[in-house]
Amino acid sequence: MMKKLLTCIAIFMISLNSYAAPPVFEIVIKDHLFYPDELVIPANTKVKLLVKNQDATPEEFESYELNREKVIPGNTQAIIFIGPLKPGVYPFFGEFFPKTAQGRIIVKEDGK
Amino acid sequence: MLLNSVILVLREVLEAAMVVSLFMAFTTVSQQSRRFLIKAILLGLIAGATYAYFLPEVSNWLEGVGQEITNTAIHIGIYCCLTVFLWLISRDINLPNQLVKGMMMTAIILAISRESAEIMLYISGFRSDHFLMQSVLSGSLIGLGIGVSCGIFLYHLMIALKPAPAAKCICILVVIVGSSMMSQATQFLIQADWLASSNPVWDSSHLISEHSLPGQLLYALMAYEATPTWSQILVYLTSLLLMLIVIVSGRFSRSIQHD
Repeated sequence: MMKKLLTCIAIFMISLNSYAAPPVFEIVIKDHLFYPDELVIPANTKVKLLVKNQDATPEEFESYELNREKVIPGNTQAIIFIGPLKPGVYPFFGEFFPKTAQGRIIVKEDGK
Repeated sequence: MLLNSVILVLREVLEAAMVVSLFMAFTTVSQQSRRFLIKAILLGLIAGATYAYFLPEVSNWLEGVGQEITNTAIHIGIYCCLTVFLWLISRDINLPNQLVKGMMMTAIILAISRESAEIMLYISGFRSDHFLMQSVLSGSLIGLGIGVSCGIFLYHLMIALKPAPAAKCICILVVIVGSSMMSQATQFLIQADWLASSNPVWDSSHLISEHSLPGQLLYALMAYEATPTWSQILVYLTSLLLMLIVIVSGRFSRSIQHD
């Protein structure tokens, strides 16, 4: 009986989890650099990136590997959804200042 | 900074130059005045400046995905204009018909507005830095020059053909460019989380990298992605098919009318 109940709770939690809002990860742009420049996210999970551009100049978040591009005007923030992704390394860069604005998303199975 | 500006501006200009040069070639082949296209380019630049100015507000719309949805609307708009254009000319409704002109102008205005907005925002970021501004401006001018040259090259390639094959070639390229607009629109909807994302169907980055020059040129022509998703491929093929159906049915109804 107890086992069945626990299974039910587990199934309920899993289904609840799939409807839950995606986890949010924050990236800050300052002095044309990304902080952090390496972000570890869980595999096979949709993730919401909150990119805060603290520079006065605009920047474009771009990644060929993630198929994402978004202009972020100076002193504003932007939301970019990524994933679900397979484990691996996905570089991204700031198209307006690509020499310095470089970073990568590292997707790991357990997100650690 | 100089090289970066060249690449950035070139990438944006190439996409818009494709539509403009195809239409320029079409007007030349049809022996019509190109003045309305020049007007459309200017209006496109004005629309681009307006979009760039309001971009911070637009980005905040719809819980932070306003930019993606606006870009989606622009791309779908270009596709619709190009489809109506194909329908009209395959029914033998040609320039100087007002509707044909209207479709061509709207497509150019939309194409230029998005691409030029990005360039304007980019350049405006350097307004307080006069030292960098010089290299950014010269780099942008070089990028613009190369992009426009590519457009002129395509234009001359088209008009070098005889009128009938030239018109056919233009139609085929309009179909390819048009479908790529829908593929890009799909990409923006996925980014906004309005469409579910899925794993890429294939990875051709080792064959043609999106970072490379061929990759960039293919992107400008047909929105090449090294790692496309099912939804993008499906939308691309459906849009392509729909345009072909429009051309065939336009020709069919024309032949019925002639009979």
